[in-house]
Amino acid sequence: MYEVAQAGLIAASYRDIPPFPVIAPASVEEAVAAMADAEAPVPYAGGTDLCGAVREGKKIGTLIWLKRLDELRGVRVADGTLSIGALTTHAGGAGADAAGAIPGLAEALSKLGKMRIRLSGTAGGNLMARHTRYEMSILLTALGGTAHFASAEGEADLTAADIWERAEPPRSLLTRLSIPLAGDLRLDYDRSLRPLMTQALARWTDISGRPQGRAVIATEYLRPFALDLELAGTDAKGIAAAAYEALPADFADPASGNDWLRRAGAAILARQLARLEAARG
Amino acid sequence: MAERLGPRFDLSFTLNGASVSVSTTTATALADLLRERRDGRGTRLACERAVCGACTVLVDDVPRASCAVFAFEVEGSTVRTVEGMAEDGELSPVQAAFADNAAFQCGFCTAGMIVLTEALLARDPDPEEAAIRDWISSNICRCTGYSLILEAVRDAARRKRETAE
Amino acid sequence: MNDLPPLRTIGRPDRRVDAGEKVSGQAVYTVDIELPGMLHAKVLRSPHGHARIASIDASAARAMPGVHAVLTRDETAAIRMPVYGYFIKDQPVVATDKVRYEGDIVAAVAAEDEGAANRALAAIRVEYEPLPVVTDLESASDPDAAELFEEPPVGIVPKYGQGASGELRPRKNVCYRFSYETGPADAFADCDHVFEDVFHFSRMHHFHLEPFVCVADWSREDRIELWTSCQNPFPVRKEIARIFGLAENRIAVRVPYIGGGFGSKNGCKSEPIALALSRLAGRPVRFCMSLEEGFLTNTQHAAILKVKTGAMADGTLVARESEILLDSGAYSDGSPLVAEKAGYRIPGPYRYRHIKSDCYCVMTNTAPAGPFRGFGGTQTSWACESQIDMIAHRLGIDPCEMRRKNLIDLSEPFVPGESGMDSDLREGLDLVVRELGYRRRHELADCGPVKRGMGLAIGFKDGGGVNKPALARIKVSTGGDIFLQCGTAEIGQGAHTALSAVVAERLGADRSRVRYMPVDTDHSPFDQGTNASSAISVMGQAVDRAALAARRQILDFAAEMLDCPADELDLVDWKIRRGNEAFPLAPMIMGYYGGTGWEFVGEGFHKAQSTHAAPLEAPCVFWEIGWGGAQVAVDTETGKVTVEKLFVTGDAGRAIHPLACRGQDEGAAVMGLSQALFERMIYDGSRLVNGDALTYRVPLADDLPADFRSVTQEQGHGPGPFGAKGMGEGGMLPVASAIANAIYDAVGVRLTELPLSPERVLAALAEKNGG
Repeated sequence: MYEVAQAGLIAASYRDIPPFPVIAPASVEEAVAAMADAEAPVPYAGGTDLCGAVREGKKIGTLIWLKRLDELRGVRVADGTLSIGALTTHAGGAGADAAGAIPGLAEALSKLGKMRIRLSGTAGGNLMARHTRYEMSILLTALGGTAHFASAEGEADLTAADIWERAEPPRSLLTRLSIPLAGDLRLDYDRSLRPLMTQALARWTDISGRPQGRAVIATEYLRPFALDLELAGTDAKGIAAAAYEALPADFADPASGNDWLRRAGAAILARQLARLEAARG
Repeated sequence: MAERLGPRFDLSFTLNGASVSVSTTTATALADLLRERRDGRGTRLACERAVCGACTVLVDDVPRASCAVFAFEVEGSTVRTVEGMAEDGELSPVQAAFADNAAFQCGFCTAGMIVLTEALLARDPDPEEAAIRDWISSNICRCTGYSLILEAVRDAARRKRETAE
Repeated sequence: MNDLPPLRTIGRPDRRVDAGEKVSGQAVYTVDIELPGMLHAKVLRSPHGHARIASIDASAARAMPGVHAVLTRDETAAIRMPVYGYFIKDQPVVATDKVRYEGDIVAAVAAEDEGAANRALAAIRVEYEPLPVVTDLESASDPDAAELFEEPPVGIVPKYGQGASGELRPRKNVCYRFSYETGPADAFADCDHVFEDVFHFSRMHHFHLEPFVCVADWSREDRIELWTSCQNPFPVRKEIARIFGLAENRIAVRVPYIGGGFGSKNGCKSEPIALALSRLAGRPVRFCMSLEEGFLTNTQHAAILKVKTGAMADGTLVARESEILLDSGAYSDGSPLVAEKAGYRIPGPYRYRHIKSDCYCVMTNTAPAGPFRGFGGTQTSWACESQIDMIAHRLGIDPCEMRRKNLIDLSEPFVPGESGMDSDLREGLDLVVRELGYRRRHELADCGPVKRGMGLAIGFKDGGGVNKPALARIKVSTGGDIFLQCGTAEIGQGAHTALSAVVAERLGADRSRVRYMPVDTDHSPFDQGTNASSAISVMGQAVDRAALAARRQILDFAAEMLDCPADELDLVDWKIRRGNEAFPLAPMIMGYYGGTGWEFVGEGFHKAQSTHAAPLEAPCVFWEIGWGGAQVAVDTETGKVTVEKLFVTGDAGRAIHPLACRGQDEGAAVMGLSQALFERMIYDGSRLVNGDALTYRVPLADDLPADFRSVTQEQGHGPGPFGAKGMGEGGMLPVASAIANAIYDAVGVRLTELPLSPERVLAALAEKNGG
């Protein structure tokens, strides 16, 4: 279930890449136009990831430098939806008042990466790197979030899970991540076993007032896997164990076997359920 | 209006308080631009993928891995490197604290750690222990086991506060 | 301890001599060296773990713009002896008939810049015929296993002393065996109990931040100038002379500051390729590997250690036999030397009547393993200190008492013919027990599924290297400026500081008067290398003697000038003191030697005296001991181990620079901590899964235990200047076993494989609880 690049046949360097034109659009409209017109456009924001990606073979035709697009920064709540601008840094998201709309979200964002990365790395860059080591997709999957893209063809969406399965629309730009604010939506993010295993738990109530939950388990080599929870009853361990029956038997990676991921994941999940229960008071 | 840069362009920025104007290319990393200069070798390159932080510099007061910053990004910006920390020829309080606490061994991560500490103390002059560990966890030191670095950061915070009083 | 007389420079908290340069960014490393017309080298590496090379076509690469030289087996055929290695010359400069691991170097290019070099490499066509791979230590010698070397490479077995022996190629896919035996084998018959246990040891990469890098200039036919990030400039000079057939006085090897090595920068790495390319191109060549290429160049030895120990019911140890398999990777590199040490150190710091050990270097289709901090001692301390605990529990004896009962006494030889123990081992153990609160461990509170426990361990190795000669020279100018010339490289350990301090102390000068001269084989006196924690214990003795020789000359000169016996005189701040009188030296020298002035030159030499009575042909220089203790919290639902307290202590003998000593112990301990808990190279067959900075996890500041402390003991028994012993490796040795022992104390399960991952803990708990 995991892929590993071949040993360094050639030690690629960022110095190998030939110079490229840079476009720094002043608005999303301009950015979309640049993505449509430029030769092999690559959007570029916080810069924490591209340098590694280039060494793994990513080509830059034209760099679309998004720095001036302040409209894509920040966290907002409107119409029952929380939006995280694609250029929001992890630190910026953690410090945004609006993040409080989902209890647990700000704290989760405040733990992503390390401080140097948190100050520059963006929500969009993290997601679009499609790196199993990165965390935004874990959070977004748990929270039932959607990634919104703009292109000359119009707007398009991908769910968090889709990101791993499908390419974004051609020549499109990720503009924001959105999370529907279902009733009393809360997040518990457990990094205590990182990088071996990371688990996010979202809990909300549906329109009929029934509690709903989704847990997402991820490892540094495996795409996040979502487990839907049956929250009837109050036995956290029972709920966790039942949910984990859905984890595929081949969900394992070079660092951890399935049995441990299953058992430790269920134990963590039970604690997360208890924490969320306690937090709801 | 969208701004455009050709593959080769003229770059102007402030480096350690002095104006710098150079002709460079869009594919040039800030780290390489700095290291080509006689006064920029203190910025060290190790992992070259923004993980280890040996090449950390301040770009408009934000600590960034300069291997992962294109030179064009600093147009009009203020860049500070380890060479720019000394004040009137004296080591900065952070540098002096690293020196006095032997918070280095091979020295390869030291410039990045010092720059990181400057950034931390600029934001939080009296950081809690958890904040110090959190910040210093941004960069890798393979030699010291970190304990002496953490002591140097605490010591530097004390020195800076005392100087400010 | 701590009642040693105060000295002027030794033991003072002065800044290290490299502090100013390193905190200001002025320090010069090999990566900073730039020569006019310098080209850049890059290499093409094998994507196969094991394959025959059918053909190499580099013609397109040769024709590419900016390319000045291409090196393949076609070019190395003209080199006098294009293979290298320590005891066994088996590693080709570039691959010839076969590739033996993923990452093996097949071709190299020197071009105007790295981009041009990499583009040229991409144009080289190599046809491989893949072969089956060997990755398993235990089945590597099976009849149906593939064979890495069908023909024996050139190799030597060094002369060993009493009880020790070595053998090249004792069996298929084993390049070397080291064995040691002492005492009667029938001692097992007298034992009340015999315990056999097997331990697995994981593999790390050194992860030195400065990559493997050199700048080679062989643009003139009979002159090589080489700047390299290398711990052993003189052995590398010798190896280059042999490979290329050049006289050693035609080769200058220069070592600026080294940005970390931890053992990896022993011996040839980047140098032969850069030199061969420089010769072909007629221009200087810089070869700087990426950090990822470091993983493919040198690693620690994974190991399987089978240990059989006989003991009496009262806990007295009687006999130990062991078999150790070291995963040496595809080329021998330093493996035979590591095998010597692993085979020799497996008894640990305890007394036995009979010891027998066999250590095998098993070749596999993985990156070459070589020297790594601890040098076999990490592997053996893991097994030894785990098993001592296991035996204590089996016999119902407190693990601390079990150790105390069997520890070698101060001055007692480790084995017959060896030097005596130069630390009071019980004193260090008692310190750990006190600092950790080990005797009150049963009072530790559990918290729901989280259980607490404590463990101890005593890491053990011989230090100072084997048969290691060192020379030093000290020059003192008319004005009292001191030049210290010796070959010890500053790799972070603080050697420049410590050695300068010794000189300053002996010459009654401020340390600032001493300049540590650049390491350059053309000018520095001979030294075997910066390794084995030997800087203060071996080179320190040479430097001390050189300083005393210079001092003697100065005092003799002054005695003649002042017409009095030299023993009435003292040297302080470049003045001669006689009673209450002070005589400045400069005018005396100028008056005697004429207006041009003079330099006093003192030389010093040290080598442990060879003797066949000592198993390794020379007695151990000093014993490097790392005592450690850990308190853990084990989450019995997830298996996660949190080290809440970690305490390590070493014995510096005399701490020449206490903060540098502390840094060595703590840096080593954190390396041990990460190996214990998570850090490892993960192989899937012959493919390294996590060979980059993002996925290979090294410890960060937030991995430190909440309570992490070290104490530098100064027991005063060391052989170095002022009673000093070496530092740098000891702190790593006890950590993994102390944590494993603490886990057992907490939850009653015994882990015998590193790392002590949550998965292994949980599996062991499940097994204990009946699945």
